[in-house]
Amino acid sequence: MLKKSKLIIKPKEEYAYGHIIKALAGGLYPNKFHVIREYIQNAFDAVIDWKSSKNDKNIAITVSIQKPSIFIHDNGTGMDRHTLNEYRKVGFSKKIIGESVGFRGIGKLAGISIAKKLIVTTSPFGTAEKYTLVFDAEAMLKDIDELKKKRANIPLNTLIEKHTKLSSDIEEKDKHYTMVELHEIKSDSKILFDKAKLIDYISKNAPVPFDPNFSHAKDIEDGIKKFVNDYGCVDLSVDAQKIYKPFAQNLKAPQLIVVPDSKDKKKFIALCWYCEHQDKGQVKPIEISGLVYRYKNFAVGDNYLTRTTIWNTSSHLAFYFIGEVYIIDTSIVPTSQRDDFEQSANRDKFYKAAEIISNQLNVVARESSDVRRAEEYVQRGVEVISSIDTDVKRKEPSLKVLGVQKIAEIVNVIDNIEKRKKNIPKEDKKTKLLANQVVKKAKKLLKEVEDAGKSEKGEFDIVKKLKLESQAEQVYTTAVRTLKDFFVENPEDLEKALKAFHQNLTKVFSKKTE
Amino acid sequence: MLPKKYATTDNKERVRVEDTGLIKKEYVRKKRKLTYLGMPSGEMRDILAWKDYFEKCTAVEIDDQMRNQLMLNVINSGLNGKISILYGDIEKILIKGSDEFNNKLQFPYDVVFLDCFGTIVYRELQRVKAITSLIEKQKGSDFLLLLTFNIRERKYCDQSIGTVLNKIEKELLGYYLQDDKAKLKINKIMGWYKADKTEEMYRQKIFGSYFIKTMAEERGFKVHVYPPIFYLGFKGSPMIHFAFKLMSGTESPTKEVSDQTIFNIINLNIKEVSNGRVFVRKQQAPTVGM
Repeated sequence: MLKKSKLIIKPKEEYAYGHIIKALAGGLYPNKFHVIREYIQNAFDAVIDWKSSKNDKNIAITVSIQKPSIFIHDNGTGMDRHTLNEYRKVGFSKKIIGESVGFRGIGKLAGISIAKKLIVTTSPFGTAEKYTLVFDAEAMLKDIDELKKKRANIPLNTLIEKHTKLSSDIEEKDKHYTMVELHEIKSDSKILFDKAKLIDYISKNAPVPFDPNFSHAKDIEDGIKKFVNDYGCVDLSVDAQKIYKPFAQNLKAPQLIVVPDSKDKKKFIALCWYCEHQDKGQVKPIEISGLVYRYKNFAVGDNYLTRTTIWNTSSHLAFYFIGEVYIIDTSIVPTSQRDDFEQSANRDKFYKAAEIISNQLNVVARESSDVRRAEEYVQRGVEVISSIDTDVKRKEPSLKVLGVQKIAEIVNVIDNIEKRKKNIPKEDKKTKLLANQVVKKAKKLLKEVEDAGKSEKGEFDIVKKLKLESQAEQVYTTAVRTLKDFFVENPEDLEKALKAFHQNLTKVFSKKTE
Repeated sequence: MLPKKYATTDNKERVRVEDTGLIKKEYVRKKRKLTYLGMPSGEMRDILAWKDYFEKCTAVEIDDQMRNQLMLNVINSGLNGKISILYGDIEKILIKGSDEFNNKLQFPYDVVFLDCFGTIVYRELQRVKAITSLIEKQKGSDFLLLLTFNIRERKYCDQSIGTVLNKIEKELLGYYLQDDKAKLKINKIMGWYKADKTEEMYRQKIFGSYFIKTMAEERGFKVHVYPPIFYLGFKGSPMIHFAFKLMSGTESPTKEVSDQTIFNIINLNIKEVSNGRVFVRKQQAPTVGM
């Protein structure tokens, strides 16, 4: 039997050096708003923890812009001295994958990439103390650079100990909170002071509630709660302005699609809710249309990620909807930048299974398009038939000249409606009835127009009516032919021109004959 | 309740109660919530005491740590969004109208409280410039001006105060051109103020009151000066607290004339707060009559 090997740790040996901090500070968050999201994530974990342990629903996250700093405060569990001390440990986290939003122990230091100092002040419930940890990021990065010029490397431990300071102070015993100050935001991150942009980002990415003005909010939330056990949201305000998820107007009632596990159909790995646009085309504004993945109610990627990952064909149809795809299977984990999920077999399986969403939505979009088209043809039919009917009743002289064209228009109306009548939903009795009426009327009218065209000696013949002489008749025929050639691409204008022409002829020749 | 560590002195708390009465009057008179500019420090006791009367507050803080604490208290008290913090030296901010991060003061304010270290003439008249700038920027709007200074040793401000005392004396003498007896009396009284043995609080009383009154009148305000309050602050430091009501005048091209005369100002009693009680000091400066 083999003896158990002993793990030997050389206590003086260093395995990590200061440049790790530089890498964290420089490269992880090209989008500055992601830094704010990291702290909102930590705050969210803290308030959810507090809510579940104390059954206190009065939880909130507050973001405050006070130039040159930004503050993120939560009234969650707070941290004791020991836990705050662990805040200094890079890549260290006691959070469990799938239970908490953050778990890597890296995001907590995101602030050093955008601020001169990171100041964390916290107080746990039941302790009459508060603790403050200051990360002097500016001095830390300067130190690394100075040493690098001398080809020297500073061990990570030494660097962090040198540039961080933990202190304590008295606090009320029943207070519980954590506040992070991103102290003196650097000039390349000033975009964070743009309140409108910050609010826009948070509303789309953080687990904020649905807007109470969104008429489908309750139905959607009820639907999500049925399937997504860890669904949670928090009151979040930016400078006292409550933030809600964005929504669009004129949406049809929400629908749900559950994404089952390909092997175990009883197990759901995701839930999608969507609303279709009531009107034609894409949901506007386009930035909020489409579907967005949510993990613990935080957005993963944007509305283009679902388009590229679960739509194989007709991906433009994604923007005909607004909705979210909640990840239920906790083995599907977002990347640290939350722009996608970590590459894994589970992720690939999920994307494959989630095609059920795109397939269904493509069908819905096409069906809606067919219905809309049928309704449009019925409406167009009403207009065409009513216009021709008026001409017939007025015994409009142009009917003789335009007879063939009018007949073609009526035939088109009948043809289009007959073909698409089946697409009108059964419950839309009004449109169905109207379609039948239009077809019936069109058929009747068709006969009348045909008869009008045939009657050479009828009242439509303006040449006879005005008793035009042969030379005048020749001029008239030439003028009509010219107009027809001129307006060959535009029959509506031809009709208008002919009507005007006939009116003027009638006016002139009636006077002459008087 | 805030932890004991942050408890200010009982005396300061009592002064705050006095101010609360004035602020409440302004609130009732203006029939709306007020705007405040001040230096409430991390504990922001002033704001917490007066929050029911305030709509918006601007807090100026120079210290990083205090600012952090201030923000923590703002959020923990549910006042986020009502308070904006400017970062830096109050005097520079008053002169410039904004801090170094371009956060701007939102003039006009209804209540301005400058709780300062040193006297009005501290730092080579920068404070004088700052208060002058404040009053100019408040032009056209009534407001309550609260000022607290610590009474420093005479050597720091003797010259400036001496100049002002001479000016006051000259002005007073102007009322008695033909009355040698009265002139003598005035010389005697002003001599008392200038004397080495006279306690600094009395000199500060007429200096502070006269300075604000004349300067504000020249800038279109009628001024009412409330009796200054003397108290011992943190670590027994002697303090003097002023309250002025500045009322926008009639846009007169010459200076405004307040209801209170220079005689009223000189004859104002000094109040004292001690052991949490407010009372008129037994010892007062000699009075002048007209």
